Amino acid sequence: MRLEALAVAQLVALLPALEDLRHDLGKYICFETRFVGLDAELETLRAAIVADLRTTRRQAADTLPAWDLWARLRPLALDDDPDLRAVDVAINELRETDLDGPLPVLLAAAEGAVRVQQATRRLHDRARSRLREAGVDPDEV
Amino acid sequence: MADILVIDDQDRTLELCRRAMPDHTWHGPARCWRQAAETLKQERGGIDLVLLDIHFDIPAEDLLGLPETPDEADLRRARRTQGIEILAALRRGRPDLPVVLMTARGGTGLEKAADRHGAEEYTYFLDDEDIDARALRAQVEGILRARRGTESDGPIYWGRSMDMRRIRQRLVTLARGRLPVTLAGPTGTGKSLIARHFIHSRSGRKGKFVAVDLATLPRDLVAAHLFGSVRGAYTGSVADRRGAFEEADGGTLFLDEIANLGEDLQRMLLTVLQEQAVVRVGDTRERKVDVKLVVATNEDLAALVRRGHFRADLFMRLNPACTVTLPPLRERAMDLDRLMVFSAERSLSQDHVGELCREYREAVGLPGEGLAVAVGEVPDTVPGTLVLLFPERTMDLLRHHRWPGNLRELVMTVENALTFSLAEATSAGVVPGRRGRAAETRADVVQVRPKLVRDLLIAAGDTDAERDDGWAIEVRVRVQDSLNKIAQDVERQYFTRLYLQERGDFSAMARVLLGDADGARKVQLRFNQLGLKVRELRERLA
Repeated sequence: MRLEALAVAQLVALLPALEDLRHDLGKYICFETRFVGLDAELETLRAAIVADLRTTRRQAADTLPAWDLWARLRPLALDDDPDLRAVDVAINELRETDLDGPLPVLLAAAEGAVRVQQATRRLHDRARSRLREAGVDPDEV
Repeated sequence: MADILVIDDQDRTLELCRRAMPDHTWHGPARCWRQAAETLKQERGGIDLVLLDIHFDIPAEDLLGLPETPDEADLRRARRTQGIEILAALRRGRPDLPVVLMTARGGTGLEKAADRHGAEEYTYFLDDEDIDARALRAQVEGILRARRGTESDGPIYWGRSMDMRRIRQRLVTLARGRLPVTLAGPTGTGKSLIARHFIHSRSGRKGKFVAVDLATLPRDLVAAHLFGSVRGAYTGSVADRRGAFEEADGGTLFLDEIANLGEDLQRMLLTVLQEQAVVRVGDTRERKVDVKLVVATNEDLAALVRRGHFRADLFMRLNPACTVTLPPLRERAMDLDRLMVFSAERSLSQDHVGELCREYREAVGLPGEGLAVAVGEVPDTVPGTLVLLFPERTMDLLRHHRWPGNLRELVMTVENALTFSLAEATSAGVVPGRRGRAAETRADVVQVRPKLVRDLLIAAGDTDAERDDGWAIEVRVRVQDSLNKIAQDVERQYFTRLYLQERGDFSAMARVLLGDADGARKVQLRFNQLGLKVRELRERLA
């Protein structure tokens, strides 16, 4: 189902999960790479991308790669949504990427991570807009 | 260099910050409010900035803001907005600590929520979805720079403690108003410096700053000095003379040691304050004056009023409700290192110290002009910079000194330390092996050695060595003396030594004796019971 097809009550229930998705996956999947910049030295860039993809969640007792985090946070109700599909595609590509590869491979991975970030951001933004249109203040959800 | 605390359930922000800004000392990550509060407590106000995340995926027992019996939705909501709860908790104890809230701008409504939770001028937002090292560095450095901007004003170093910030903020307000300002606090805490360089300069007044030290003026000349005199008003008065009030018309008049003002002069001062006009000694004509009055005392004016030594009506005119009390230096321990560097840098800007630096450069053949003060280790500097280094062992002595003379003593100690260190190093000149990497052998480093500082502190008359060994108390007993009398003799001597050490500050004595500065009254009572005379002891202090 596409996000716009959900009932308002379903969307209200889903909004926190979309916010978590944006934060936990979208923010951290390109966190370190953005920090060092794509023009960083090759090995610095590689280390950043590896950290972003393989330890997207890094807490004291919980380390997860991007694909496992996505499996955990993927909102099942939005199976047909184009943004969700975009994340599916990007995550699958990233999982298959050889991160020991040369610079073009790394740059492609970085670009894939940004696609994930943008798609999770769009999902969350669309949900908020949709709620506003329905007269619900998303900040109060 | 600053101390920055990261409050985040994830490790990554801290790791990146450490890499991007290695000059700062990074603390954390505190994964919940409890851990953050512990760090803030341990650092005793030493944290300069907090980076705070919003989402905290942490166990329920660590979450703030949960209802008594939370359901799953409550837990999720609390986790998603935990940063806001932490901010609110933090603000209760540290309202002016800069906090950078790491949240996506605009998209989540958290900015609005933060504003509701007391996030005002010291809270900043960092759009952490698009942040990179350069942007983060720029934001952090910008905040720290602004923060440092209020740490000092000209020759005044306020420091980072909340108490001193509050004092500064209060003085900003009082400086602008028309009411008098009373500055209290032990001698040497910078009262006259603040009156001249802070209150006057912020009063918006165009007139002069005039200072009168009432402790040093001959008693019979005080009236003429303050209010002016006409020819023949007293022996030797050969011409009409404007007093300090007229000199300060349109500006600020600072009366230091106001408690020294005699009873008759207190009445005259009260009249001037009521009428906003002076009558010169020997004259009958009133002259209107518009003066911002600042008075200073190291005594408890309210206590003097109670004892009948200071007029209650004048006391009330001095705006006692807004008295600003400056703390002794030993209560500013967290700022001592920076205060020391601040004083040293100011000393270096003085001509005679600058001359010594030039002489030293010539003696060792060190080109260049740059000067730097460092604590602990030699920092990286531009080649040719002469570093005045206070090694850790020297700093330990300074940190553990009780500073009975407060800031004045610190400034003099630092200036003496620099002067003697430079003079000694110049006399030593270039010796074989002087050039090298260790601080001891580098020509571009002059160390302030611990022995020199120890000697300076001993010369100043209050040393740790003396305190550590205790005070020698003499007891002479006769056979018929009761134990009570002997005990009182000892107690009397102890109280006397303590009174002198604390420069007559009963609150400080109460802190030592009772662990509570509010017990000053009890200490004073015991003082009286022991038959000790404050007046006599005050003379010894003088």
